[in-house]
Amino acid sequence: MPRVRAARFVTDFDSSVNMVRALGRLFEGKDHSGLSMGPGSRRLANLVSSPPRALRRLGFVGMGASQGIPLDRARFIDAEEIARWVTQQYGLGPFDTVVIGSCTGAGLHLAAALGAPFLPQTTLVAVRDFATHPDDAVGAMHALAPTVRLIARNNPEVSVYHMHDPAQDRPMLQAMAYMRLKRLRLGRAYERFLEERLAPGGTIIQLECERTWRTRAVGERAHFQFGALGGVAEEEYHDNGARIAEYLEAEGSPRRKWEPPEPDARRAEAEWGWDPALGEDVERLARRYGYRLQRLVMEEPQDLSALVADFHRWWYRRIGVPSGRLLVESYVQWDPYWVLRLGVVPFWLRFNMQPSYEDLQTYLNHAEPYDDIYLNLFSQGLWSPGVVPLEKWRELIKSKAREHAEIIGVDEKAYPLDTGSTMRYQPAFEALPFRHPIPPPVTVDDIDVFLENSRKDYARVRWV
Amino acid sequence: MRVKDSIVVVTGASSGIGRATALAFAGGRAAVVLAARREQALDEVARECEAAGGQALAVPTDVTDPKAVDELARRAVERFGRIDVWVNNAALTLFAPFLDAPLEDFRRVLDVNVMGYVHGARAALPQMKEQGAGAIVNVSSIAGVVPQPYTHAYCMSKAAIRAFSASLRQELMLEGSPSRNIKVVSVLPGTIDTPFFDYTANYTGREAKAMPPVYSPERVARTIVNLVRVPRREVTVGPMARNLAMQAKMTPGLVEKMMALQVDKTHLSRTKPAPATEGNLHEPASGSGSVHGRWNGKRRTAIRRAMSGTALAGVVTVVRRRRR
Repeated sequence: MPRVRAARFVTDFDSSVNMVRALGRLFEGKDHSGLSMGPGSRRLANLVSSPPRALRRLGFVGMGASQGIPLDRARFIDAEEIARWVTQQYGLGPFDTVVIGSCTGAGLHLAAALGAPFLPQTTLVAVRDFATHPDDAVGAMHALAPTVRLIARNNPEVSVYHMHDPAQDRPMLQAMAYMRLKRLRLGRAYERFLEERLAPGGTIIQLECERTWRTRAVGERAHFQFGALGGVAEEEYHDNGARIAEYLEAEGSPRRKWEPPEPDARRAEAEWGWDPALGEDVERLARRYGYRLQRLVMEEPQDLSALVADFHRWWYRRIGVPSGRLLVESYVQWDPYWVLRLGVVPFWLRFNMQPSYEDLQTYLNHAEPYDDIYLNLFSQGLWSPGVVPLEKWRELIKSKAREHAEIIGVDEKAYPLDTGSTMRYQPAFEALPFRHPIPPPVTVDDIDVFLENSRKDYARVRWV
Repeated sequence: MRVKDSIVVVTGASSGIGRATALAFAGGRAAVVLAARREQALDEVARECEAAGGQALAVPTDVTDPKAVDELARRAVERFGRIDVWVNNAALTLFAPFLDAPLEDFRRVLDVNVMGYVHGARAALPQMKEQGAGAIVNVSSIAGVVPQPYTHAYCMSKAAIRAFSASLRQELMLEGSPSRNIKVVSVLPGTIDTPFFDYTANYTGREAKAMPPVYSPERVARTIVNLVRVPRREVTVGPMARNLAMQAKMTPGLVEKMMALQVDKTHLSRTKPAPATEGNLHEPASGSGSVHGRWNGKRRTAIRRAMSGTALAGVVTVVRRRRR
């Protein structure tokens, strides 16, 4: 499978793919405009988000359809080729540090500060699905099970998770199904990358998100996960309630509750969770080549955000960059290039939902106040349960910023059905004042020093 | 052979081609004996046949059971006194990657599609020999000439039916009179608009669709009725089936590759996933059956004809203008 085809198989809005693309482009001195796939253009974004609401909603469905590969191509999905594609996004190195494991936007900024490439454990491949109803979990599981099993059988080094979330992924589910490939073995491409491009004595930072989820096996290394981390709690996906009934009614669904299949085990969460099986391979390779293996363990993907924000603040102060500006990013609308050029402190939100809001609130309550706070929010195409209104976000940042607080790169009239969202965030970042040369990368020892001297206790994160 | 007042046994008469064939014979004032697994559906077809002008007898039958098929023949003779035409039509299919096809499902397809025909012919022949005339119509498929991927058992069965028809035809010829007055014919339809694909066993993970071009079941039924009037060895139904059969003789390798791609792109959905199912292999589909599927065979044929006619008229116009 040539490079172009591997790129066709990965999903452009996937968190892991965007970590890889953003870092690859950062190392080439480029930004992450349009998710590194399209232009960053306010005008174009305005044009795209100008149609009426119903058309914009269809636009999200269309985006899902365009990302899904036809079902007859599912047999060509090759996790090893995707891994090779990942390694091709980075230069020849050698790199002092390589980050591997769970995806998290905070981890992206840490890797960017270290000048370290990221090798994701999990990648997303979407297949087209025009047949199943988003609220028919059992129907979707059965309909896609043969495809999940096919991918798992053809790729013995991964577990395949069919992730089905009719809350926040609803427009996408109308045209595609999520197949998340979670590596259990390093595989040849990752091994070669670590052998050849990690400098002798270098460090492997293993990002481990301990989040698990109720899942149901549909075959060997083939699982179905109903729901995902977002605005709906895991229990609510199974127990339903008035909020879900209202949501389904508002969405015009014939159902008033979800009836997911009975789970048979808790497994690593499909998108963010870490499967320890890969750790054995990483440890073996690190031992063989004398690399330092450093584990960075978090309970939830967003738990790392406070630590990474504080680390940037500490680092900026040390190199003489003003550290009073906070840039809050959400989902994959991140840009490590502009974070470093602007000298802003990054705080990553997993999404635009209540749990993310609460985490930011907690952070701002305990952090040394920022002069300026800028906030950008991802648009996922619907008012799914838990989406926090813009006004509430604005109130939060205004109440915490000493001088200036602003929501940037968001079409407030269109949100969260802003079809131009992914073209809008980067020009908004770029428009912020003050530029600095990109500073030389930090080292792993700097993280040790930071943590040793930190007065804060990052209880949900372990650096071991 | 005259169709009017002839006695015709049709297997697989509850839906699709079998049902259309039964109705076509009934419309020609023949008496039809209807066989399939679904009693309720057969009763409905019987009523439709009577309304069309023929007599009808419904005999619920599983063609894989030789005793049941013998009983079917016996009931036909008991009611109508003879069997002039036996249409072997009952068929099932199975879509699956070869290694994913459950062996019992694979065997079931061969059992129904091949042994069902064998049982039918063995039940009909003694009666026809006694009568000194008759016609056995074996509904095969163009897939028996140009096989398709993912339907191994079906293609094997349809090729086997062609071979079975030829072998039996040869034997009857060698036996001389009166056996040579018993005609054995094969019908090779292209894709037909029937409910067949909705009930199919499927382990591909992709919804099975009728592969275009799609023809109406009435077209096959007309062909079968005409074959009884004027028997021919083997007949294709639909221009595409005819073209494929010809191309397969001239460029077999190319046709094989093209068919593989065609099936992958158009016979199995690229956008609609489907759960693994044994379909109607072991248990008949529910409901009262129907002649047509959801593939608009008649309308598609009408559109194709209109487009072909327009294209032809255009060519004629251009040629005439150039001659001037």
